[in-house]
Amino acid sequence: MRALAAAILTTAVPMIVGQRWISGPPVVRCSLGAVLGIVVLAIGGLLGGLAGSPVLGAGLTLVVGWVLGPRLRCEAGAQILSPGVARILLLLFGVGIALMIMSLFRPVAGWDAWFTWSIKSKGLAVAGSFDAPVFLSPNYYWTSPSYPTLLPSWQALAYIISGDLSIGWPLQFQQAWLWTAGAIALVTLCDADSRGGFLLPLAWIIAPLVVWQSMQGYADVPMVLPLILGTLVLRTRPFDVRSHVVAGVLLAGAALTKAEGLPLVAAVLLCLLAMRKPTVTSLLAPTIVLAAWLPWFVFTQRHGIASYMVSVPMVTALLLGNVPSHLSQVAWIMGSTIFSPLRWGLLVPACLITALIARRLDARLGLTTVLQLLLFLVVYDVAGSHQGGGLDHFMAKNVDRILITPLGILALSVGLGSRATSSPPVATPQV
Amino acid sequence: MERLAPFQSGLVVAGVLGLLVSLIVLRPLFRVRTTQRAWWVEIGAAGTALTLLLPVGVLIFEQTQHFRALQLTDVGSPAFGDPPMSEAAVRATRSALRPGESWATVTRLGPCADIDVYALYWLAFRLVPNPPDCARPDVELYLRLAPPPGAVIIDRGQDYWVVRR
Repeated sequence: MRALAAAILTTAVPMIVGQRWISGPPVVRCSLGAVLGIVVLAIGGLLGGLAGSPVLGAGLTLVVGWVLGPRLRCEAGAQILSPGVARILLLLFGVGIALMIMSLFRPVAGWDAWFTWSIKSKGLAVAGSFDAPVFLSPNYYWTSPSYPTLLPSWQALAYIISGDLSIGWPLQFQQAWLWTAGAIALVTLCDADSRGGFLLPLAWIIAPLVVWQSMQGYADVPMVLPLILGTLVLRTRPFDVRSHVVAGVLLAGAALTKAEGLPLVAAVLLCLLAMRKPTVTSLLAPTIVLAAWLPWFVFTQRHGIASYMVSVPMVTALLLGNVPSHLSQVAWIMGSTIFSPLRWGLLVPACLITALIARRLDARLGLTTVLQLLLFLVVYDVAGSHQGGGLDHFMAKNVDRILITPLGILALSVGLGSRATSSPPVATPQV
Repeated sequence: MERLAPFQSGLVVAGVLGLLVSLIVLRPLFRVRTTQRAWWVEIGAAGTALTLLLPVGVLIFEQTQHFRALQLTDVGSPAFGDPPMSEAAVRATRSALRPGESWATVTRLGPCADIDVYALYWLAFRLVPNPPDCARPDVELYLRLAPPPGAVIIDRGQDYWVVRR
């Protein structure tokens, strides 16, 4: 019973809080609200963990979120859906339910899921604080202690509520819930923003690699969902203060979920905000992201926890030519993954062909994709230069996953750019 | 790909069913009046992804069944592979540890040097909050290697020995 309570309290309750931040049809309020609420809850858990009580932190943040929600409510979604969208939403809901049912019988599945992420959830749940061996002891150096801990903070709440560290299914349920909410929010927001422009983002969110990874327990899908939704909200209403706040919270969630989260979010903010006429409003989202990210950064600096994947000496050695660059090899591996039919090769050609024959591309989002791909190229070159001869093996383990984010932005850039520059298909709308 | 071979027939059936589902779901979009050729490319991309959704669901189901067969409730194992040690070894080590005590694995390669590269990490996940300590462990788990004579063996199984230092 406690495990069931853990699964429900960490998913349904944040949805109830999050939907108060969103104005629109129930399907948008509940889906986008669920993702937003999870970010709010997890940030509370993280801040609480830094202060010595994740549950108290999460509880207080939910109360603050509940109170602030109506004051910061942002308009999202449309009352009328495009033809076919209702069926697609129904299908996504069905798939989500199936994943949630399967999650009840699954432990924390993938290697990195427990190796890097869920072990921190256990450490936080047991100690009630980040001042614990899992985060600070050199014996746990292999868990990448410098990585931001939003996902473990969320999952730690499930461990604490269930009171059992030997059952992993509530964590799997959380991931299935998040994918379902994120997928529904993505389709409805894309449809509202650009009628009919949801097809490529849909092809991305249900791509085999995304669905598979969402059930493996890795942090890539939990990172990309708030990032994509935050990007959408920011792009849809670039001059609305409340939308900037909601987008800021979502992007803060992405920045705090993985090590590469902050630079990926920075690419989004740079392309969507810095390339517009500067206003005070455009400072809101970056400020929220930095404010949310800062406490964890201070914690790592205070305890001398540094990244071992990319560090100043590594970059310096590469720039000085002390270690060989593998840029062309990295680019080849990433390129072959992107265009391999068994991996991303179904989505990317569709995006490129659509962009080419219809001359449709959101330039800002397109540039974001390029920046994010370049970022990974550089990170792999720096990290790969220190891997010795095993670059292929090193990249093979995660190149599929790291491409999820830039390719999601690519799907958005073509899908949404589509209706902005050409006439939309004529259709009979349905409620 | 060889890992998928046992599920080939199931995946093909799921693919055919997925195609049917895809056609049903996307049918209203076929009737959209448009001259844009790109519209059909987008429908094709979404349709292909929808078709593949069911085979992916089958694979996740099979993975779940695999975990259930191995009675893994806490942590998974490599894709459709065996975990690095038996549940009995994990239980024995856990019950040997007192709060705050540390532990280490010992294999024929030495302390914390794994036959399976992830065995130490896998066990570390299972044994939180007791930390691994390769230099001065309180408890050692000998995996597929008998402990030296005179060691204080507190539990043993088919391929493991739990030793207190």
